[in-house]
Amino acid sequence: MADAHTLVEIRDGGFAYKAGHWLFHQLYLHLEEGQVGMILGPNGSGKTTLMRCLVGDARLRAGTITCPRRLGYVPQTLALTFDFAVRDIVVMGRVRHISLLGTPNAEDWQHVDRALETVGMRAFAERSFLSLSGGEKQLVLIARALAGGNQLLLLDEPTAALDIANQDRVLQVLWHLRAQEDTTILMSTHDPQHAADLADVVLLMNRDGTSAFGPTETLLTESKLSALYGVPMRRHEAAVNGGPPHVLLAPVSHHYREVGVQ
Amino acid sequence: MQFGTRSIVFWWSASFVLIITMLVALSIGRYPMAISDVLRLLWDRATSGDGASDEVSRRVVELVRTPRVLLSSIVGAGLGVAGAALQGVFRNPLVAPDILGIAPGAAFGGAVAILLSGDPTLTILSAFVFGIVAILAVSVIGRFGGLGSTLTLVLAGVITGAFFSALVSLTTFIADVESELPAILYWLLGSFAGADFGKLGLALATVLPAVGLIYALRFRINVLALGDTEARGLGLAVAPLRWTVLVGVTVIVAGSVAVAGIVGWIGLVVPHLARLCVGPDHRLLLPASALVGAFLLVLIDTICRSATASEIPLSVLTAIVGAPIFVMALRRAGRLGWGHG
Amino acid sequence: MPAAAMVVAVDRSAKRLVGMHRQSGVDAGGQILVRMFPSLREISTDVVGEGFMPNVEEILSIRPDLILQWGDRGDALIRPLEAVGLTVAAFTFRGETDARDWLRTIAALIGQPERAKTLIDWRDAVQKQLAPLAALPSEDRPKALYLLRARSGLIAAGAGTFNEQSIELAGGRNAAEGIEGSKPVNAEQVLAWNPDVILLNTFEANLTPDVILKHPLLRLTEAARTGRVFVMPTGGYRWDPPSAESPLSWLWLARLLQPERSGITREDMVAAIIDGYKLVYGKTIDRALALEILNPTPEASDKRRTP
Repeated sequence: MADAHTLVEIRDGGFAYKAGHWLFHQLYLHLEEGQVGMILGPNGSGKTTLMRCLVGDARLRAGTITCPRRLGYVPQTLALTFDFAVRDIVVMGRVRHISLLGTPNAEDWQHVDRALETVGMRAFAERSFLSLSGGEKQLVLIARALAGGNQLLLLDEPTAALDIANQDRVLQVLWHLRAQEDTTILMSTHDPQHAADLADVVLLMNRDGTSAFGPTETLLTESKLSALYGVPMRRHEAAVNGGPPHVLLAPVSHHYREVGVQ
Repeated sequence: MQFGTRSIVFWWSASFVLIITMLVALSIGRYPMAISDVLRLLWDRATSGDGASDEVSRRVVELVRTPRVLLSSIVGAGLGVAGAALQGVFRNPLVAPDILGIAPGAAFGGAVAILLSGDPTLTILSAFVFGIVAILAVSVIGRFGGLGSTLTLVLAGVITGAFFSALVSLTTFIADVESELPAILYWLLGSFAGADFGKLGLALATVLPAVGLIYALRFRINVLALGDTEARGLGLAVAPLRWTVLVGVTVIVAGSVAVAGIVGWIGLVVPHLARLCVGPDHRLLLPASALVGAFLLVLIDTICRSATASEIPLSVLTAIVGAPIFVMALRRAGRLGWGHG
Repeated sequence: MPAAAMVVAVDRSAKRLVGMHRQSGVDAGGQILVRMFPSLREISTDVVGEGFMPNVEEILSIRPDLILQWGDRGDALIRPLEAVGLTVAAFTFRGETDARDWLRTIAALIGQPERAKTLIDWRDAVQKQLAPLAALPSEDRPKALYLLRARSGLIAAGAGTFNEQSIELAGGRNAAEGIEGSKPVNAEQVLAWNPDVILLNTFEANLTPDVILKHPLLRLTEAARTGRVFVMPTGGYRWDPPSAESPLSWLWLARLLQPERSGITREDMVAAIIDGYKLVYGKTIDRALALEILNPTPEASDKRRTP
């Protein structure tokens, strides 16, 4: 049952665009305050649809959903018609807190500055949004979600379009939010390594509509991941620079050389 | 604090330029008067002094130039704000009041009133009512279409505009060629030649409250300019906001059509100029559009009434000035990736 | 549009007209032409549409031998008629030369070329009578302004218009000679011209001198101050555009602009109208009708008084 610390919960969740054709069904998800949850799955498994259900943009066909109304949604990217400045984008996250005919006040701008500080983009406040790199844009959008003072941060594949250096910046910020700010985060990702690095709990969504939910270490096994992606996955643990062992996940190198084109 | 020095420089210089432009406009006209005479006359009036100016000069300045300059500045400011707000809520920099059917609707209302009675008050009222009818039609048609809301609304606007333009043509067909038709055509072409304090009062009564309403929503218009899904995700009630802005725009356009006929291009072009000066933030863009719109229309109308002995049609000059500015804006559009809008 | 009235004038009857424009002006003012030729009321007006676009099928149904159409308003007005085998005479309408061409052509077309000579000789005679006025030095000639539109915006007749020709012939000077053709002007420009006499058109409904006399600015013009604002009279046809009875409008204007030098009295005007109508329409009108043209009845308009 959902207790006082439960922030997100989906029980027996099912969604279908057409009756009888479940995109996913009997899905279970449970996230507590301060936890990081990640949703893994191949393309077409319903990750984005699940996100939309959480935001309230789409409705489950079956099951129940518990989700805070005050959540900060971070889209993959923002197609801007007008080239707003970074701080003007971030302050829009405060719109829930600003009266109908009002404009941002000093307190709102403090939230903006703090959010930009948190993601390390304070120096970019006056820059135009469209002049930023992909990673910087993603950080600004995270800052916007933070500025809203939300209980939950919901990110849709935040690293999908980023190169490795930019992925690293975004993950660094997410790690910082988890460790220092106790922010509750739920995100979808294509990279199981991110889940291994950051997640407390993961949800694996298969193409056939089934799903598995549980603590990260129990679900990120070679067999489960290989089944999930249809590609042999390898897991091994290694100590980096003498620290505690890290889980490393990757597809088996060169396996496609052996199987050929199917 | 959040406004940079660049915009502070802009406010002071733009306000200064506007005031100087209006003063110069008051001093220019077909009736020969020295600028010093006009200024002294204005000074006398301001200080309630009994100036030595002759009656004709006094009346020309008071009854022709003053209402005309004020009227064109108010209509220019209103259309600038209306255009900026529309482009924001549709996040499409190529949208203008004429495109959404509001102006043709108001024009039809005016033409019908000229046909039926010719009473000026009724004409203005009818322009107003049909502007609202047009936007209601847009809303109804918009509900039939199952497309994304922005595209549907723009398409509904185009349809409504075309329909009302056809109705306007019909009124010109029915109109008496020798008495009513010239009145309708004169009015459709757009002109400030009929400016007086009555029209000025009407423009103030319609444009000012609507501009005030739109300005009050400036921050929310910013959020809506991100797109419907984004705005909804941030917790904004998208549809009510868009309709509130549309009603405000309709009031502005109907009011200006009623006092000056159809003034093209201003609503389209002014926001682009203003955006060049202060950027896309509507908290700055809306007042900047008002200033730029007022400046541009006062300037154009002054040329219209004083360049030659006969009045140059207003719509001709706004198009001549507007088209190149728009081309410039399109070039910028390519760079900013407006194609995504 | 003056063509219908001109045909009636040249032919001295309405029997040759089978169709005309809805606003041909035959019923303008006190409907004097219709009163002289009542059969005009029966003539079809469905033959022309918007912008003088002919309704070809309607025209074919009344089988005209000839169609008089504008010649300077684009081929589209003429081609559809010729395409179905109708004969079209195309006219332009700018000044006195055009007016005479119209008379000559219409007279030739209806087989009465001598009528053109009669009507044109009359024009020559009146022009000759007024020649001393036309030759006056400019300081002796009052500045007159003809307003083609006065109620919905102001349109002044400038250089090259028939109205300017009439004003100059009658011993005046066109106040708006600085503009070419008929153009919209503003009140300030009219004040700058400051005309001594303002002539108002016959086209706008309910137009009276009050539109000038009560205008906050235009009432400061010399014309308004001295009460010299007049609506042009309407006889068998309007007196502001060219027509078969233009010589009467020239005499009227001369009396208005040069009361002393022209030496034309009110009685002279009445006599000229009676003689002129005999010549133009072949009708003998009484003194009352002649006076009515100069001073329209209260029903026509109470304010359109002429000296």
